Amino acid sequence: MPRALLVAVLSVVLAAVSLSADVNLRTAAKLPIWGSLTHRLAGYTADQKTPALYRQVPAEAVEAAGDELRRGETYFVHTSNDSLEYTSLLSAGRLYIPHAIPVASVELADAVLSFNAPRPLPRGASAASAVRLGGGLQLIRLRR
Amino acid sequence: MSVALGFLAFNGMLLVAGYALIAVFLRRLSAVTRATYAGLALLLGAGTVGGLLAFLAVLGLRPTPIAFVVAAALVVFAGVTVLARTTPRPRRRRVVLPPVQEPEPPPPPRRELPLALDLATTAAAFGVAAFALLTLVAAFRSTAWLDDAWFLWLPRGLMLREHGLDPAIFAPNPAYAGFPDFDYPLWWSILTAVQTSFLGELNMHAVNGQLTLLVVAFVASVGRLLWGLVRPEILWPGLLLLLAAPELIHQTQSGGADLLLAAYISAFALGAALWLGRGSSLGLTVAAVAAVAALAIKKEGLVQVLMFATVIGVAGLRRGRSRLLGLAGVVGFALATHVPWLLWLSAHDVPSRLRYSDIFDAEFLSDRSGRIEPSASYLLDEMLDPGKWLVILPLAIVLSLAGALRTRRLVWLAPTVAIAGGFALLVGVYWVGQFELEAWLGTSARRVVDTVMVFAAISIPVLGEALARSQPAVSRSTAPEDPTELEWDWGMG
Repeated sequence: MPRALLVAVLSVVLAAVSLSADVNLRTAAKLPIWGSLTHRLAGYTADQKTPALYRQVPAEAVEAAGDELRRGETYFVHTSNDSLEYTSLLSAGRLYIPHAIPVASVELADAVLSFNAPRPLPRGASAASAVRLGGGLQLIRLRR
Repeated sequence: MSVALGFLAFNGMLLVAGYALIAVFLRRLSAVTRATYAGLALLLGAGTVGGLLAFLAVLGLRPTPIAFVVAAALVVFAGVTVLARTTPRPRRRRVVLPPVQEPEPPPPPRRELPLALDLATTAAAFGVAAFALLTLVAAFRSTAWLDDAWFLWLPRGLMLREHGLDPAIFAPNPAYAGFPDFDYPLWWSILTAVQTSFLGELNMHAVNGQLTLLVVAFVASVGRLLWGLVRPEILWPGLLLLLAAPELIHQTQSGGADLLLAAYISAFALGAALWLGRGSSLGLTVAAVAAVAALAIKKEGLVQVLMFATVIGVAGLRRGRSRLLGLAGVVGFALATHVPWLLWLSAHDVPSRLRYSDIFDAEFLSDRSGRIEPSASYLLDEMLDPGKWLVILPLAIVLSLAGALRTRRLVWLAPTVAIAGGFALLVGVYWVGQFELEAWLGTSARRVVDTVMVFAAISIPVLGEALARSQPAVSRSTAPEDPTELEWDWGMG
């Protein structure tokens, strides 16, 4: 009987912490070391399902670029001089267009994924066609 | 297929594969008891199917969803075949293999606990369930905070699924924008990529959910394997101490592979100890699968498996040659599954940030000796911070030393030696590694201590039980042998 009573009391406490934003916030204030937990319970701030890249890049547009590129085609990532922006777009490309392959040099690319760069294409490259995908992202097919 | 259905289908297949793998050990158990092996089945299913796909990827197979289903079916087929061949059929004349030893330990002697202790045990059991549930919920509401998750593990798996292990992409190549850490094994990349296929969308919540589900499965496995060997009033608080560790919870939202490596290395250590100490065939199976998975998760897995196998093997030297050979066979089998990956790395000149040859270069080591103290200090701060790992490390060491002092038996020091060995390996990595030390420690130290901390945590209930049953060294020589103690003895001495 005491055991059942204890379980009942603990269940009520658990339900209150999990479901009541007010109780959860007070618990979080008193037990900050478990913040990773309490911040995801009642009243939690929704977290994005997509990767938290270093810089904001238009993920949906990158995904749309995948429809334009065939399996095994190569693309070059062209951004501003911000290396974190480059890394973010490169990662987004690998995540959303895994069937195509990012290359290190524009000379080896079939297309350029261009975002936020001072010029849409790197020097020496010339466009055959371009598709605006939204969010400032362009997929530019190159003249070979 | 919706995300939830995809997640369930993916893990359902891993669960079935895992149950098939251990079916031979469960055949005489009730359905309810079999259900308590679900955590272990999931852990082993993921270890086996992921390990098999990683092995086959090196041989040229793309880890597609179909390959995943076929790999799971192969594991099920293997498990069912072993079950059929070891099940005696009385009416047919045929040679059957001897039945495998059942894992179910004898029920512990029934004791009436004092009310306060009974309630404390109940609260601890409730706490384990509550923390498991809340940690899972929290993981499914978090995006992965570790950049490795979206910069390395998942995208590499997705590209592997599309292109296979093409050296042009997965080995250094100036033409392609390559991945960092080409030498990282493939297990977690493959599982997350196949899971993404099952979900039908890129979903970092589900990556964290998968990571956390496997961590919870590991804790459930430890509880299952120790049930009957460790009394509940020690076991439940021991498991709670691990599951409630704030850093463990934080890392279940990372999307990284460090906690998984820690779980499989610790499962290997526990399985090996059960095999050496009690002759548990299930323990040996757990050790085998966990070692295979650990080697396929992160490159640190190799030295960690060897280190833990050595410490546990030495601690169990008196258990006879056949058991030691069994453990050696398991380690050898795991290494054999890892050889193709090492050969592939070598064949394609894949560099490592850590060169083993540096360890034998005295001048190199001497020049960098200034890195030892700050590395050790930083790591210790991480491991001893009660805001991250509660009191896991000091408690494990105190129990180990207390047992050694009380019984005058060195075997009690095995967990402390393993912890010290794991710590020394970490310091060694920072010592010989090529990165700028401060930044490296700042970005990795909190994660790489996972193996030592998780192992220390699962040592606590084992040491607590052994200490509760131990007799002081002076009286032991004169006291009559207690058969109950022998039954509960882990036999590590």
